[in-house]
Amino acid sequence: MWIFGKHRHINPDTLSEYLDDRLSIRARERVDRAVAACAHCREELETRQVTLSLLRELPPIPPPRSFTLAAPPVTEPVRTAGPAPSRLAALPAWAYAGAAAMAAIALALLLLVDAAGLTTPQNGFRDPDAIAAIPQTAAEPTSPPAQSWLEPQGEAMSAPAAASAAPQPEQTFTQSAEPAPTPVVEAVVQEVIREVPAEVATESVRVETSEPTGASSPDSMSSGGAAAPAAASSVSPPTPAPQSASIPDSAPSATATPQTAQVETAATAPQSPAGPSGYANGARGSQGSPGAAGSKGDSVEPPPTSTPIPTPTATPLPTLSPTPTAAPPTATPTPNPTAPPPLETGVAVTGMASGVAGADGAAGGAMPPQEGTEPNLASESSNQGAEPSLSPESATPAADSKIALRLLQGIAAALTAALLIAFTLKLRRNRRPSL
Amino acid sequence: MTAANPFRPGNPNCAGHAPLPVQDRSGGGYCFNCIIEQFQSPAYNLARRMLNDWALAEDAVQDSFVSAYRAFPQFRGDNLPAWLMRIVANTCRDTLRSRRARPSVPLDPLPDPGDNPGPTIPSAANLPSTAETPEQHAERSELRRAIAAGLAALPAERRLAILLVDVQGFSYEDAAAALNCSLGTVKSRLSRGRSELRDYLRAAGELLPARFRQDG
Repeated sequence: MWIFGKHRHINPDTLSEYLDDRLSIRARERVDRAVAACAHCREELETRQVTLSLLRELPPIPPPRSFTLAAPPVTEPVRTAGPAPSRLAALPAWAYAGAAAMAAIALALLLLVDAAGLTTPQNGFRDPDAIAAIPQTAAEPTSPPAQSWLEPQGEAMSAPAAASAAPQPEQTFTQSAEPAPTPVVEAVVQEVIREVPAEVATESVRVETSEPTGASSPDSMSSGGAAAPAAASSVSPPTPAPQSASIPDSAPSATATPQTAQVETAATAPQSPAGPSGYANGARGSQGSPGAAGSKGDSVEPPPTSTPIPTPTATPLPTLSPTPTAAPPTATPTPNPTAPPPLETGVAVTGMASGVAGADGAAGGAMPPQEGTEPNLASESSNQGAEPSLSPESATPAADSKIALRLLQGIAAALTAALLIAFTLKLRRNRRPSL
Repeated sequence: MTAANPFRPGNPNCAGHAPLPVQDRSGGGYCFNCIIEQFQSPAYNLARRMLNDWALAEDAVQDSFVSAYRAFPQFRGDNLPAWLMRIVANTCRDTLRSRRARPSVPLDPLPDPGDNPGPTIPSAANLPSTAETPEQHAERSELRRAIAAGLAALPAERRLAILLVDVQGFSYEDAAAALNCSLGTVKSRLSRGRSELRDYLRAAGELLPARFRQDG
C-alpha cells in the first residue's frame, strides 16, 4: 500500500480478512495491488494462507462415544436431607481462633486478679487457708473453756458430759469459721430480739435445742455452732435463779478465764441484755439465733444486772489480759450443770473471739485487751458502735466477689476450651484431601 | 428456527436414541438427543483441541450437554450452534482453570489427534490408502503434531477463536456469539492467533511443507 509515495505494509488484520474473504471489493483490490508490488506483503500473505490451509485441513476427531442421554438428567441438584448448616459453621476458622484467644486472655486476667489477691477478704474469714489455720492458732488455747461450755449442754440434752469434750474444739472452730452475719442480718436479729417476747423466744429456743446431735457433730458445722448455745439457753429457763445464783459464783472465775476474755467479743451482740448469749447467737449466724439470743437474754436477765457476767460481755478482749492465767483452773474444773449457762455464753463468745483473734489479726489488734475483766455497760455500748467494723461484715462482700471471680474463671476456662475445640474441628473440616 | 426445526421431536433421526423432548424460551419443541447427535462431534473436537486430553474432553462435553439440557428453557432459539459452543467453551475454560490450580499428568500418552482413534482391526479395509506414501504420511503426522503443539501454545481465547473459525468453520458473527465478545475482538484474536501459529511453525521449519520451507 502506497501512501504519499511511501509504501506501508498491509495490516495483518486486513490480511486475515482478505483470506477469509470478508473485505469489500475495493479493499480487496488494494490488497492485490500491494501484494503484487511488495515482497514483504506477499510473503506475509502466503505464510498466513499456508497456516490457514493447514488449520482448515485438520481432520475432525470423531467422538469416542455417543453423548446422548438415556434419561433426562436431574434438573435441580438434590440437596441432602439434613439440618441446614448453621451460621457458626459458615464462620471462618480465624474467627474461632480469635474468640478462643480473647477467652484465654480473659481467663488469664481473671487468674491474675485472683493471684494478686485483689478479691481476697482482708480478714480471712472466708479464706479456706485461714480457716484451716484457725484451729492450730486460736482454738487450742480456748479449748479447755469450751469443754466447760459444752459439758452442761450435754447434760441438758441428757448426754454424757464427758462425750462432749472431743467435739468442743470443733465447735469453737465452727463458730469462728462461721460466715459472719452481715450488718443487715445483725440488725434484723437485734430487732427481733427486741420485739419478740421473752416467753416466745424461749419456746423457740427450746425447739431449736431439740437437735442435740447437731451441737456436737462435726459434720453439721454451721448448725452445730448454732444449736449449742441454743441448747444451753434452753437449760437456763427451768433454772433461772440457780443459774443466776451460780453465775456470780462462777463469774469471778469465768471472768478470769480466757473464755470470759472473749466474752468481750460478746459485746458484738449489741443490744441484747444478755450480752454473752446474744453474741453467741449473733456470731452463729442468722439461723434462729435471734430467738435463742432473746431467750437467753430473758433467762439470764437477772445475772447480768447483779453479777459481773454482763460486764464481761461488754468488754472487748479485755479478758485476754492478765486474768486468764489466774482463773482457768477454777473455770475448767466446774462441770456443774448450773454453771454452764454463764460459762457457756462465755465459751461461745470465747470461741468466736478466738476465731476472730486467730483468723483476723486486724480484729485482734482492733480490740486491745483491757486490764479489767469486768467491762461496764458503757464500754458495751461503745463496742456496739465499733462492732460493725469487725471482720465479719467486711468479709461477706469480699467472699461474694471471690465466689463470683471463681465463677468467671470457670466460665472463661470452659469457653476457651470449647472455642479451641471448635477451631480444631473447623481446621479439620476445611482441610482438603491431597491428591 | 422454529419453522424449520430439524430437531423437533419425532423427526426421522429420533429413531436411533431415546426421545428427550425439551422446550426453549419461546416454547419451541426439540429433541435434545437429536441436538447432541448433531453437535457432539464439533463439541468434542473443540474440547479435545482446547484441553489436549481425551478424558477431560469427554467429561467436558458430557458436562456441557447436561448443562445445556438444564439451561435449555432459557435458550432463545436463534443460534443453537453458537449457544452450544458457548457452553462448551465455558466448560473448557473452567476445566483449564481447575487444571491450572491442580496440575496433573495423564498416565497414558495422548493419542495423535490426526489418527483415527477408533478400533483398528487388522483387515484389508483398514489398510492405509495407496494415495499417500509412507513418507508423506509421516510428514503429515508430524505436521499435525506441530500444529497441535502450536495451538496449545496459544492463549486460550485466541485458540478458541482459531478453533471456531478456522477449524470448525464458524463465521465471525457466530464465533463472536459463541465467545461472547464483539466482532472486532474476534478479528483481532484471529489475526494475532494466526500470526503466532505461523511464527511457531516457522520456528520448526523442517516440519512445514516443502513449499513453505523454501519460502522461509
